[in-house]
Amino acid sequence: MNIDPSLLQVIEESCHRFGESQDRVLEQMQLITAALQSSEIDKWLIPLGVGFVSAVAGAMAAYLFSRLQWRITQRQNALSAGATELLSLITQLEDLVVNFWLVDASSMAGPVLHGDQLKIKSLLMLTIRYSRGLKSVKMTESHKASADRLAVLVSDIYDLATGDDFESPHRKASNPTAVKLATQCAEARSSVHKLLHF
Amino acid sequence: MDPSGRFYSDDSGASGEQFREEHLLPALQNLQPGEKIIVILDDGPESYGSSFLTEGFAGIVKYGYMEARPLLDALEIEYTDPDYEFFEKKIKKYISEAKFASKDYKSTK
Repeated sequence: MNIDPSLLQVIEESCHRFGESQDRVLEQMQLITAALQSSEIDKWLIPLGVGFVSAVAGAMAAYLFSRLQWRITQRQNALSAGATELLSLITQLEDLVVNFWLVDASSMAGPVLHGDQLKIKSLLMLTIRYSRGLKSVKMTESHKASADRLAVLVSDIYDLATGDDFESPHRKASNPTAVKLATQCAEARSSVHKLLHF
Repeated sequence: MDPSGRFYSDDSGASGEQFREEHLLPALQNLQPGEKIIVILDDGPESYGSSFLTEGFAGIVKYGYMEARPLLDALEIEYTDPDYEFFEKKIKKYISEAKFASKDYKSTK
């Protein structure tokens, strides 16, 4: 069989190039394997990991902060609502008890006298309820001191306002009792105001 | 009828004096060893005045019927509404602070 020599040369060159290509592929694979095994990977993986952890920690911190903020706001709202109601109750109670103790029972018409006695007891009951309700609200030490002082004042106001001849038709006006009640109610209002300052 | 007033003479029909003389004192006198008087505070009354509570409970000590400690031991104060804890504390305080036999009792009936 006669083969053209130029064709043989082409075949030889092709085989040689194929061998070269194979060698190059092998070289590239060895380089990639070496790179994967080397610390070069760690050098860019570590910053990536740190970045990821920082992002998660940042998100967690933001979540915890907003949750804390929400709880503080909730607490302030609960305290503020209770204190506002107490302020209104004490103001009404003050008007009623002071005027009640400034006049003799005999100078008041029967239904008015009885009505005022009932109103005083009802307002005191509500004041006791709201004052007690404050204890369930978590508060700062200074707010707690104001709430404790308020509880003592409410107790004293109860003793004084409904004591002596409170429900007697023979009750005599008592200026000292009215003055004490006015003072205690004013102090109670002041304690409530302190609860409204955050 | 809501408890109100200190004395019979207050014409409330449910004064502290009446409660003490007609209910609490007879119950105490009939109390057997180991027994207690159960006082339920919130089974009707909306509130109590301190004049009623002082006369009704502390009057037992003030008029010399019984000393404060055995009276406190004989009473079992109950309520379901937590607001009435205030009145329980008041009753106990008035009894504890009362001076034994410091006054002679004269009925105002």
